[in-house]
Amino acid sequence: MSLPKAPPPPSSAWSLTAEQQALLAERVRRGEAGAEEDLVACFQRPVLALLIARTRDSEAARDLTQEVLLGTLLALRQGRLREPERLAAFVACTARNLVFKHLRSRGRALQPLEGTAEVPAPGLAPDALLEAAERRELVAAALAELDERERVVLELTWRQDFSPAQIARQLGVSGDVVRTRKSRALKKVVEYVRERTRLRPGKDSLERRQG
Amino acid sequence: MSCQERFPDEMLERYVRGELSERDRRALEDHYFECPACLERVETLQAVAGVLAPAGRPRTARRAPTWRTAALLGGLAAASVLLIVLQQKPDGGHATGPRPPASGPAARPPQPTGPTAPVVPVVDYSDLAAISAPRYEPSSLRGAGRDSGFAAAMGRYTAGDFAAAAAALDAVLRRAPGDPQILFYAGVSALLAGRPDDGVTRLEKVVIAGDTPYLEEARFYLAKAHLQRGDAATAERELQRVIALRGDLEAVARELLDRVSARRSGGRMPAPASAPP
Repeated sequence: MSLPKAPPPPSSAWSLTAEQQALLAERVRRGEAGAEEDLVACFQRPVLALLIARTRDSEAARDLTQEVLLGTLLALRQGRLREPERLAAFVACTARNLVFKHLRSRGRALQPLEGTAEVPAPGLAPDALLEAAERRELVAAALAELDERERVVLELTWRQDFSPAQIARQLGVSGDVVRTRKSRALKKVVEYVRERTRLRPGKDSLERRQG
Repeated sequence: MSCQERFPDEMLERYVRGELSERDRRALEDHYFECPACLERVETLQAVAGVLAPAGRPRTARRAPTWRTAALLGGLAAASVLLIVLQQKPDGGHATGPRPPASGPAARPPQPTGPTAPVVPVVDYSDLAAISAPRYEPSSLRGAGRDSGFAAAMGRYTAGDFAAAAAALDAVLRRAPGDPQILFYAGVSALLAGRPDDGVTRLEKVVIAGDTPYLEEARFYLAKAHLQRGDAATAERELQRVIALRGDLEAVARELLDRVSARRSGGRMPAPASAPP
């Protein structure tokens, strides 16, 4: 693997607290310098993940991510967020609404979210796209390092859409063995990627600014 | 409760595959918007899906009709189609032979018996599980057709002796274990001979072989096999995969999926104008 190995992230996963969410929302509402960049850094990755999961279209998801973040910023600037401590839930809801709109308008030009047409779009941090590409590369490397039996289970699952029962029949093992191998393989892949990336979405800058 | 317990890997996998209920999807999304560790798990699974099922895979590509699928569809539409419905013998064995689609309880799983057995409502899929033998044209065959054992086996197949054909094809498979054409006809023959479990095993191997000319039909007959076994949920998934391939069987699979889904939910769809595949 040619990618340099970065220091691992803290062992305990952080969560975006209600207080942090409320403070971030308030900073954006006040127009504080750096607040919008923090919001983008915090939420562009979960938004992108949600959009990919729901549209099954990476290209469309990237385009829609900007739209979601723009709609969120506009709502915050205008003070339309009723529960700022639930900012994350608001962003997720905005993303889902845009997906529904997108899926309904397939084949037609998607209309922007209400009120966002004249607002300059926030720039997506290039790191997010680089991270996505890097993650894919790391996953490929991790898959290559898996035990053969584990990799076969993942390949039958994802390449052939086989259920655990179908894989069990083919491999001559029990369904529980298949599930165990798959779970173990995924954990190895996740760990492999985690050890080689510095993926702490927006947290560092947020902590610097908000304490 | 930890994240892993609340959102186990299998749930995340189903999320990435678009198989979760809307309620579960929302719960997971609301969670990973605040939990970077679970976000990482989702992103990594999405990357695994991207690496193992790269864009441009056959499932999204419309393939040109093959002679065999055309023959299959033609055969399905023909008035003289041979409908084979598996029927349980009183002794638990299987009998085969042409029967009206609605008469065979092939897909009915064993029911509890005895005075204290609970009454479990069982949905009968036997009419939807009925299959016809895909047409076989030796002149168009390559590779396996050169094997005299294969030719003899397919002679049995063409004559409608599917049990003998299945046995003969299994013998050929021992010499060419991964051949998708032999596996396909061995699987279909096993189904027609009343051995859906054997049929499933062979047809799944066709699927494992990847993007061969037999992939779409193998998936379709797998769905039929699962219906014969009374496993409508798995049959539905296979039919969705057939539809996702967007090939020659897309419309037939969609119609069958609608009927299976209606049957599962307790509704009854009207019988199609043509005979069911």
